[in-house]
Amino acid sequence: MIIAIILSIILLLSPSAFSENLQPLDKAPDFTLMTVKGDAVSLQDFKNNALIFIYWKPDHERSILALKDADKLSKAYAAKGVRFIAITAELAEKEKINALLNQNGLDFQVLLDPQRKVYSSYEIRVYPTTVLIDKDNKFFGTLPGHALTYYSSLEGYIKLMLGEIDKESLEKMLTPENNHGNEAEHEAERNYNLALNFASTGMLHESLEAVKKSIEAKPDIAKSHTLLGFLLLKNNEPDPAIEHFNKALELEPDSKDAKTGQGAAYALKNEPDKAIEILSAVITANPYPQMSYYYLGMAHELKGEKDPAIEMYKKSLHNLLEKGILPSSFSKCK
Amino acid sequence: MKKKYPVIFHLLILSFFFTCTSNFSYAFANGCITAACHSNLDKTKFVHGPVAAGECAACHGDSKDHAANPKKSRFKAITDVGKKCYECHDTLEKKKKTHAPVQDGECTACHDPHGSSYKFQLKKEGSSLCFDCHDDSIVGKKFVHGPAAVGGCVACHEPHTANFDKNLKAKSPELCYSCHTDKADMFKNAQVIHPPVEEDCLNCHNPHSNDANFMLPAAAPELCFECHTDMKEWVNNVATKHGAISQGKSCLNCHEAHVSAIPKMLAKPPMDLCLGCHDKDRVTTGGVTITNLKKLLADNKDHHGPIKQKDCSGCHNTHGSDNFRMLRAYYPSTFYAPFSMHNYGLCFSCHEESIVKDPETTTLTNFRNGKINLHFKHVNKPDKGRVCRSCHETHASNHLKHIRDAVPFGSWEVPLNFNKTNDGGSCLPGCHKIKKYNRAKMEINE
Repeated sequence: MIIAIILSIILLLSPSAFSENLQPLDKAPDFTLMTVKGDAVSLQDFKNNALIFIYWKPDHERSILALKDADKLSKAYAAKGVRFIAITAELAEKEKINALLNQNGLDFQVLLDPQRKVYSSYEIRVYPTTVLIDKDNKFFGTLPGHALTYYSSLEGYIKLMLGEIDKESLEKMLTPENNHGNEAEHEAERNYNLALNFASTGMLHESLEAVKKSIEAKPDIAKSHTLLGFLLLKNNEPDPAIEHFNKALELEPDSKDAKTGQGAAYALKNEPDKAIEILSAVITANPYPQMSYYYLGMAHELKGEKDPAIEMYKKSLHNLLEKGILPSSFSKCK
Repeated sequence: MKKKYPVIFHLLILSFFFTCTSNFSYAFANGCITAACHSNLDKTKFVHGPVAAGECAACHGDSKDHAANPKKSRFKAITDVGKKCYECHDTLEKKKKTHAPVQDGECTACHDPHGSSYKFQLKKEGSSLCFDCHDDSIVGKKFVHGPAAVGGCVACHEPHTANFDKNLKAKSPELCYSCHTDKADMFKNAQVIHPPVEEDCLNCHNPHSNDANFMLPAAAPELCFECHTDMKEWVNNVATKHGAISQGKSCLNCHEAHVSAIPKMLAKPPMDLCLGCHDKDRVTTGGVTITNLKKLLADNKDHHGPIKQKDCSGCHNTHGSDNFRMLRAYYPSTFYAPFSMHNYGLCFSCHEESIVKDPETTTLTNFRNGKINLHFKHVNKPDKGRVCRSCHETHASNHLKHIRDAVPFGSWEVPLNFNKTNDGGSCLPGCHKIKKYNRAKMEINE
């Protein structure tokens, strides 16, 4: 039963075996052929190696393309015991064969099949046909022609034959897909980046417009709402800013940036207690606490608490100095 | 991206300090700025620090009699503006490229030394300042790059010094990727990258504005043809051009412009692309009905080799061709044709041609009666040779070797009545009485 299941899986996954009689896992038909150089080569010479042969025709564009792809794969799989040869029925064209191989930088052992014994026993019907034989000299399947996806298909079948991949992975190799992601997400990201760029160059109005576009494209990105919140704060619009900070926190509850913005907005709304409550929680384990300290200072100042306000402002500056991001005019004044 | 996140705070903090500087203007009340003299200097939105602080002498020096007799006792002109600015401002970091006004020490070409309505005391807003010197026609075409459209030249260009040509903040494509992060990820993971993309985005896109969408100089196919001249020539000269080239996105109906996981930069696997359109009967401009291939392939399980390989381009030239049905080579559309190798150029670009040249064989084909090659017998006739499609359905059928059920012959659908046996088979077509064949033991037919 198990053997039957394994056999069916292998049959299902085998390359397009259009053979009528030769079936995957059949003993590969033996052959002995002469090379272009005059040496005799038989299937038995490849014992314990997987063998891939390309049955081709000189002066045939798709055959040459297949040989080129196979040549690349032969280098990649040589160490794994996969051998590649080429077989042709064109006996009369030895010189032409050598010239073609040289001209295309190909390094193949070419066997000649003038009686078409291999052509017949492997039921070759088209040029090129690529035949796969496993390490136990069992026929694995054929890959007829040279489709656009020949390289990846052949590699997939080699990997399957070597047991390196399973059916699912082979399917992926046989049907490559372009995944360019979510366009709305890209649009949002582009506009967010642009907004950030504008904000850093002081173009706050343009930044505002760009981040709004980002949110329009994809409303569930926390950082866009946070940036919009800060830009609204710059416009002295704390209420809509709070809405966006709240939205950001809904999407990313641990966002210290959004919490800082929330606290800052309450400070600007002259609600210092609420601001202090929020901002005090944000400064712990925050790698960028400068703004939190600054607005904490403002909140304390609003409450008339001079000393804590100065302390917070100093911490804000201390962090700024540490990060070395002070504007030059300020450096001159210190 | 997360690394960039704290930048929000940095820049807003910077903005805060600038705003604080301007707010000081409201605290200032005496000196040169009085109701009678220079009254507007501190009224702008963004006021230069010394002006706001009433420290006019920081730039203009002292002139004791100026207040008493302003016309006669003027301040000494500031001859080296740049030098004066750098007395307070840090000199700009030296880089490979310097904006001309900065190079010439003409800070006031862009910045108002007293104040202005715009951040950094710029004389005008956004790109309108740049276009005082630079030609604004660069953003005058139909499709404008986002930053340029909103006057954000500084999104890409450094206004002072930079390490890249045109005072750019970085080189293309890295600069482009600073916003187009999706493209950066796409290219990083791509299997096939369109060579011009690999070189420089500006090979196709104008960074300011252009006549076609995405700031391209032209839409496909014209843009593509600028490099793919061989394809231009081919498409413009073939008798039948693939409809996809003239419709919708043209080349981009089938090809990706940037990257692809599929050879030839295809947008989808080849067969999916073709069946994406050929999933219904289509009528060409010449009135020819093209079969719903998707249905045909679903209804008929024995597919022709290239279809098994999901490669319609094995037989069809996907851009266009001079041949019937956009085939890669000549293929007779008739039931009969006098034997000529030319008639079978398409088929024999994959199949072995001696299959119709050798009267006898034991290796070339299984369609033989003993040694008699039945392909030769059917095809190789001086006048009424049967063509491949007389017996084989080119795309698919429900018989082995995609043998047809029937073949159109005028108004009659000639049945083939093909039966396969282990060693051969039989046919009872509209052409002749039943005939059998056997590879092992030759059948004698009447």
